Amino acid sequence: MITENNKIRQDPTPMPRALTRAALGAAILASLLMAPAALSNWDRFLGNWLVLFVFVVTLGLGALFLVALEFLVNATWSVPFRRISENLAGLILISLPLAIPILMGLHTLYEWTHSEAVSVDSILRAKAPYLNLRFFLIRFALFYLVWIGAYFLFVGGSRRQDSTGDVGLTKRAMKLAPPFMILLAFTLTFAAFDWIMSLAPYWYSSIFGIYLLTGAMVAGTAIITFAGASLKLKNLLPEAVRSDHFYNLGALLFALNTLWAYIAFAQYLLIWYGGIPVETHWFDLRSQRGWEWVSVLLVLAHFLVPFLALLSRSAKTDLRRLRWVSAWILGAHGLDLYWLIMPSVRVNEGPFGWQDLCFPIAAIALALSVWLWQSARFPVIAIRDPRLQAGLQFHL
Amino acid sequence: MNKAADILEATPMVLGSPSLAQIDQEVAVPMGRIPGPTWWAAFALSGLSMLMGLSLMGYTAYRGIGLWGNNSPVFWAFPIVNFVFWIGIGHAGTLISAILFLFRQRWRNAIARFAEAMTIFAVMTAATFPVMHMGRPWLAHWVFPIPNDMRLWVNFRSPLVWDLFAISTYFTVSLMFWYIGLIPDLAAMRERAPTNAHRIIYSILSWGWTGLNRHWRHYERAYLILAGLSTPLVVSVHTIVSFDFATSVIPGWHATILPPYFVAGAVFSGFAMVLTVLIVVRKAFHMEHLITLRHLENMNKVVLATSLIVGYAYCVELFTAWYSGESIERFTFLNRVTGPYWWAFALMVLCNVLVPQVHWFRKARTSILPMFVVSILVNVGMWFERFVIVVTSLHRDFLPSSWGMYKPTLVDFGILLGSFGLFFTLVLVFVRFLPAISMTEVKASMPQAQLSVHPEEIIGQPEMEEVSV
Amino acid sequence: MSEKEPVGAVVLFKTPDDLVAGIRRAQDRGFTRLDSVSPYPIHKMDEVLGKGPSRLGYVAAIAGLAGTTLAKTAQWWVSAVDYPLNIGGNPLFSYPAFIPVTFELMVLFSSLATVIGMLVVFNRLPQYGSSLLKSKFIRDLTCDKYGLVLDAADPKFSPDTTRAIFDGLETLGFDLLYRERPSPFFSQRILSVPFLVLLAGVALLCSSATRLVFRYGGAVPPFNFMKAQEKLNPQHESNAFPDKTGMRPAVPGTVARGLLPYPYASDAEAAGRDLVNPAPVTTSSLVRGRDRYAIFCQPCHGREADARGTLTAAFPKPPTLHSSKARGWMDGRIYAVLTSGQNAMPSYASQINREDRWLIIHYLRALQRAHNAEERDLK
Repeated sequence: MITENNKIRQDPTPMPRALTRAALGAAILASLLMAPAALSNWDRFLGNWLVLFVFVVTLGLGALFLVALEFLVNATWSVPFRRISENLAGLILISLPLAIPILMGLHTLYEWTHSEAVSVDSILRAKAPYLNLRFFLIRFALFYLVWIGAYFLFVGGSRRQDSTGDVGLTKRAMKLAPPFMILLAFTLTFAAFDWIMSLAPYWYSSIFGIYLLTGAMVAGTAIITFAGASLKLKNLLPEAVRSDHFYNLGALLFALNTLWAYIAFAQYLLIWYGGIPVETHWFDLRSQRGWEWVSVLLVLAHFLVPFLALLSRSAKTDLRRLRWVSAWILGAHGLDLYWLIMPSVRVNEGPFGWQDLCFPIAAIALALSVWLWQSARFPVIAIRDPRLQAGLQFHL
Repeated sequence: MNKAADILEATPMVLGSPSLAQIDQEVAVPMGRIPGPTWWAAFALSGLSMLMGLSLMGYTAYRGIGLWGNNSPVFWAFPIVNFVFWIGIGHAGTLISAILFLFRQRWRNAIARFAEAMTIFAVMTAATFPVMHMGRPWLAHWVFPIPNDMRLWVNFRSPLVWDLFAISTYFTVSLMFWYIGLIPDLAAMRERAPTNAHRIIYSILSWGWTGLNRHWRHYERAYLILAGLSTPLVVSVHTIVSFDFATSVIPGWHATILPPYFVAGAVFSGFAMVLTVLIVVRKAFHMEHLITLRHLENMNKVVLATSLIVGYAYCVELFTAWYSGESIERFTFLNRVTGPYWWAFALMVLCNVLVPQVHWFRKARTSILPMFVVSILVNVGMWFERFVIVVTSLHRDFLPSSWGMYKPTLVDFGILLGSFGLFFTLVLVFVRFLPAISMTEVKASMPQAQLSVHPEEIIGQPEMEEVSV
Repeated sequence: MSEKEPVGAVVLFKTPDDLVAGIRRAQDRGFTRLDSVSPYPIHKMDEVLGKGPSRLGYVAAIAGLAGTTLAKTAQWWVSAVDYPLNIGGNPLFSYPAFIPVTFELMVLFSSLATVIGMLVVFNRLPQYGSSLLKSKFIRDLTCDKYGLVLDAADPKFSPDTTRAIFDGLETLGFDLLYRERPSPFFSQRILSVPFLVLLAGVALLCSSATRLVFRYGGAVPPFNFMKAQEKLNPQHESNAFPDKTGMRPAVPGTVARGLLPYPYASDAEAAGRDLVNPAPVTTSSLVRGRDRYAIFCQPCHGREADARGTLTAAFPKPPTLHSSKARGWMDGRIYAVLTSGQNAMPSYASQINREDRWLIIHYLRALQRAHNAEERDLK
């Protein structure tokens, strides 16, 4: 596996100290700001926590998606990046403890958990067979069963391959990828319905699951790109990982981001055009009281800027640009979730209070911590993947 | 299942290692010789069907839409179902030639030309329906925003106008994309032309192409740009077609999932149609080593994947209708599953979701008969999907007093059959007169076709000036 | 074969690697005007020839931007300025609804510019006069061989010695290229006279065909734009009747809608005897009677039926309606006056419907009683 000019480290690559310092600093800052935020406005805090939780889940699932995608389509160019995706998929594990405040605060967040409100409302009663606490929790458990199961199957298998070199593990992953994709589609769809859509229990949009799915795919690709470009800039990846690989990553990021924008636009246009109050009310909430600026910002930040920044061919191979664009997209994804969740949680408040500040910082802290934790245990590349050589030799 | 070798080595895309010249010869074979009785029989069948369809269309233009089954409450029926059906079929071609090109899937080279031609013919067939169902098709030019003496404009807020722009753009771009792909092949045909007449025609059509690198440079960039433009274009076209339904407030139509659902469905039915036709063509013209089982297997995988996406969409639609809690929404879907058209719904689910699942098995993916049967059933299922969407939502909507049943007439069926005739006639003519496989692209992807020197060794050369010969 | 100066030369190679070797040889010998010919694009050939990426991308981008701008502007002007229509309460500049067309036009403009830019502008095609097309190698070059083209304008080029430069390399042949006199029909320049004549001819053909179709084709059914219909239009002749008249008189025995027989047109006294006022005497009927009276009767008869109306100066003065004669008339007799007229008073049958006539009569009675009140009325 190791050639003359393609020396690959067999043991985990140490990460720069600055990263540890950044993670620590962010964690401390976030914790310091969280207590006053929680005390000053518990509802708002819970809403923000939900944003953070979904952010972490979508990042982790997005990373896992990329892993499964590689096995699904038998891609070789992404093999050098797969370990990065696997490490970051660890965010799924972290998200489980994060869910605790939410599970304890379901009554605050979700109107349909209040039986008195449901009993007097015919629509909520009609939804009660689905929107009830017991079924919600069963589904929650089911989602995590699938996600964590997939994590250990794919990621665990790949890591075991580092020591055994067993080709059967790759074949197993290739067999598991299609059913996992199906399960991911359904679980993330219903997670979107449960966690976000039911915040506004009257509202419904059949594309909502796909909306969150594409958001997760973009976010996953963005964080992989950020990590990959950063590692390459610090020379922590083998030399063979070149602009050809990053071009594909950048093109994937571009395409998925545009796909997200298309889904978002389709949802908006159809609801706007139909003009049915039950549906438009949700968008009305997001076009008043300061939220209209957030909506405009979302379009500009999540679509226009990344689109223009990644359009040209050379942009997709420029590591620095890939780095800032992917970081930007991650921020935009956070903004997207904030825009989805907060107006329905805090119906009468405007956007961007000081209580929200700690959460982006917490997200950065979590992502960095997971990265540091995982990358300290395993090599930064899947060293004995049977397709690694083909992947390193990939040319456009 | 897969051997280790399958993971590590790419299966060759062209079997038998023909030389480049042999590829030219084999692809040019159907064009050179006089067509045999099979081609004539097929042409006669499809030509008759096409003539029947065209004359029924003319009869409709003369007598009016009363000849069709469109009536209250199902005002939009067969014509729109057929339109969406054919446009959907066209999408596979663009996906194969543009999207797979962008993903650098080399296996698409052998089938891209054919698929693109099918796109163009499918769009042409589809376009006859909106024109026909206007009632006064000779006023079809009124849909264009041309200044007129009535000082009227089209309503740009209407999805039907968006449709117009989308379909005409799609047709134009697909035609151009297909045509510029043809130019180098036409140049090769020009040089092999058997008669002077052939030579003149190919000469005109190939624009004097010689193959200078100066030309290839811009040609490749143009190809890449068109592929990059066609990709969002094809998504936008079927999205806009879905907007025809989704922007309304009819239960069963007004669902936000319709755009991606329609696009996935279009790719699904398109690939099935490409499979149906390619299986026949490769057998008839002995091109099995150029359009190999691997190509077919890959297409079957796409069919399986899109079948799952369509199945997902069915589930989510049903769930969301129930979740909405609104009695009318719930009723609409209950009516779809258990109402008078339950058999169409059952056929749709059977053909679209259940039947393609055989492709989980490698044996089914690589055997001709199963995949042929599946591809036909998928198209049947997709036609019924549009039928279910249009007719069940219209025949029982808000006011029970307005409910009714839809009865298609013989003219409706005749025109549907005729549309298949039109499509297949065009395909047969194309196969006879133009290279069905892109010789240029297949040759370019052969193992002996490219430089073996390492790319890094040849950068930094001085720029050569243009030759003018 | 004419003894002309060659415009260049082409060297034939069997494989792409041989071709690159040949190019390197020529470059080493100082050639700067050369190009490669291949039946398909060879990767990295641009780098070998020192060429950067094509600038076609900018053309596509600019055209796309133009398309977007045009689409947005046109839709705005049409929908918000020239013929604004309220469609579903949407704002006149409904930007979400305008996005699909904008996107499509962007793609269309971008694609058209790319194709036309590539073929016509950048590649200067069609070029039917290229000397390469006349070379004996052209068939192989479009099939499975590769060529290196040298230009005679290159200072290093010489028809006699250039061939020797490739000694030692794997070549399949060397051919000099000669340009023939450009044919008048396949000239290199797109704006040549024959082409322009052809364009003009096509334009003439299309416009006359259009004119003919719209001028005369409109009369051909079913394309007659619904001008000629088989229905009967008023005041037109018709061949369905012997007298050719479209307008028909009423058939004998026709009853006019709402007709009630009124046999008292000439016998007002009989009306007074036979007809009974069917209207009830209620406040609302008196109010309506008063209103109707004010509209129709007041001008001549005056507000209080004492013939002091506003028209008395211009019209013959009617008798007062408070005379004992008028008071003695039965309701039906007054009804006959209203229906058929009397002396200078015309018939009001066409202006006051039957019910209202009876109500006016009730009101008149009230007026008469008011003018001739008895003591018991004051109680």
